[in-house]
Amino acid sequence: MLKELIHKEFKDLVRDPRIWIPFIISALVLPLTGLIISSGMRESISGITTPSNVLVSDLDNTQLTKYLINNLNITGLVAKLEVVNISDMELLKDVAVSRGYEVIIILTSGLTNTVLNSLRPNLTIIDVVKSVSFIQSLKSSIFSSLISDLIGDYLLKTHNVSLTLDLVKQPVNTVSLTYIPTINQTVVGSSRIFVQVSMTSILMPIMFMIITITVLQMAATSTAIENEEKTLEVLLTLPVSRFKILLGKLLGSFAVALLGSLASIIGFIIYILMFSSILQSMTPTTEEFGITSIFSLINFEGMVYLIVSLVLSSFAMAALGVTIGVLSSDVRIASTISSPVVMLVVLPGYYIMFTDVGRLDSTLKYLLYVIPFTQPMIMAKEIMFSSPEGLTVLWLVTSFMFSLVLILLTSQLLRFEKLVRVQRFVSRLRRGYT
Amino acid sequence: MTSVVVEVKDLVKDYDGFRALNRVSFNVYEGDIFGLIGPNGAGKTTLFRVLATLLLPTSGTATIYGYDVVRDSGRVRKLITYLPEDVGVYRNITAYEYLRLIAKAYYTSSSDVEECVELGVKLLGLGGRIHDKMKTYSKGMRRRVQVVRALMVRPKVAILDEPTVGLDVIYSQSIRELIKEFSRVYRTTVLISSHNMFEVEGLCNRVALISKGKLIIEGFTEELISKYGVKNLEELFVRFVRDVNA
Repeated sequence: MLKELIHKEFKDLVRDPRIWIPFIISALVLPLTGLIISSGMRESISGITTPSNVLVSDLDNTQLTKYLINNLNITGLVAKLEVVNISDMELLKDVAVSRGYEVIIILTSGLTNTVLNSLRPNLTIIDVVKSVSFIQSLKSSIFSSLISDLIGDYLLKTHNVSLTLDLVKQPVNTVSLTYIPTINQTVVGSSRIFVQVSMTSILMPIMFMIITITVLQMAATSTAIENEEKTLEVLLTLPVSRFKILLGKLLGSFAVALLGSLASIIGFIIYILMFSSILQSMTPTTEEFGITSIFSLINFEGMVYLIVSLVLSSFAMAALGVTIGVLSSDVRIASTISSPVVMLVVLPGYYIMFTDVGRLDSTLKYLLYVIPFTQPMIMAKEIMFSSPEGLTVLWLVTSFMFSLVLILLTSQLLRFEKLVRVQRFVSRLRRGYT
Repeated sequence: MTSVVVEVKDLVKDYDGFRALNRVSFNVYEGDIFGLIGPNGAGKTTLFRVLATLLLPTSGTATIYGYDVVRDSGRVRKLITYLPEDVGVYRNITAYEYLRLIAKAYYTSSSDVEECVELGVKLLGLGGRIHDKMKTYSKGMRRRVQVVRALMVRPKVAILDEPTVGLDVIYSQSIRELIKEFSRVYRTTVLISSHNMFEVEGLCNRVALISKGKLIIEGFTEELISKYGVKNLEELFVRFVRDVNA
């Protein structure tokens, strides 16, 4: 009988265009977004490959710094170069903005001595940008690499310095900054991490939220319709267990959700591939700039875990949706409850987006892994920088069990007597809420 | 002597301090088409929901073929079908698929399922439209699907809450004929609630009138009309309900 109930649920949902339209929209929106963003990125990338106006504050004024400045001029990367001797950072930034410079390079006092003592001096490079763009901050990377190469080259030519391979390869510690004059803010950070984290921290939750909201609302609406149309009353008088009735609803909804999620995942993959292909085609030295395909950062095992986690998360969402539907005597109540529940579910996702998961307290981290709604997000971030833990399988099983327990508990509610009471209570709450 | 199929004794049902059923007692016998009549809010739907194992009585008992609707609800559900008032349909499922789903809930062997679906298809009489999604059906067709669904599994007891509500004369008549025919052929005991006194008088051999949760009168339809010297059931209804409200 369970099979028949699942078939009924699946057919009823899959034949309803109102169910399919959001999935199709999300499948189309992601590639479309990718297309729009990638065309914007095309402009940005062409911007970073054109020569820049560079302001150099030479506070050391030595043979080495003169060597660096001369060579910067002949690389073809510099359209206009001006050398100043300004130690005040604020004044330097003002000069750069007023004279139209896009990059500031600060050659600190004592830089040459530090280099000649076989130590690494700090090299500060500031991107002056009119707005925050992940791509614009790459200009600092270009000049950082260039200056490192030039100093390395200089060291090789200077015979009285004791050299190591590391020192030649990386003779300076670059401090990359981004100065946004419109809001007078200076942002500290490496463009490499900035881009990678933004890819995983923002795109993954966005994709997850799209899937989440669609799955939850679909399951909640379809169950609430059963209440509203009284077809649930009919089901409850059939000689079938309540758990089977709910499981049928859950698995039927989940099968549709899975198809829809797959469409969204395919859309997401196209979206990411667009990023990667654009970056790689425009700049052969992309790797040096720190931008790589998101997929090259995730190992295969991690990717499999991530997909399983996403699927189980959808399953949990469907279970939550069914529970909301059971509690709602009509579709409007289901929608009213769904909105705050979705917010509650996605809020921890925002936390994960903006936090360094490596620094999380282990209890909190495990909690985020146990909750099916946060699991794919934290997993997506972690597998960027490390292999999946041995506990990952346990987390996945926990996520699955969460859904089953939720449905089991809901089936206890599915006694008409209790249901009527709970629905009246929910209706009263809703009236109070609105 | 026909046997008692449904036995209701001193049934009480309270909702949040409101007494929906107040010590209701009656019997329904095998093969009866039993009409439950009463004004809006009298407790008809509550009583049917208790018999259909959906609601728990506050006190008193109700049994179907000797099985208690609370303690033996699983067994009771195998014997009954229930048609809620104003029940809808699955919009994107065809009537054929729906009948098949219901048949599989009651029967395990595929031959029984096939036989049941075949009967359902015959009773429904939709022709080729049985394979259309039910959202394309008129209100009358949808109601007929639900009535057929409740009958085709050949339940021992069919509980039909206002089976013809909101239907035009033609559809109402076709559903009444269907119930009558089915009860005659399969000896199914049918409990019906309705506001249409003409319908109850023509269809039900026995009736019970409840008002404000209390059973007012109960007995054979024709005997009651004759006993109280009224022209028809409607007049009887009006007289007793007015007395209760007075």
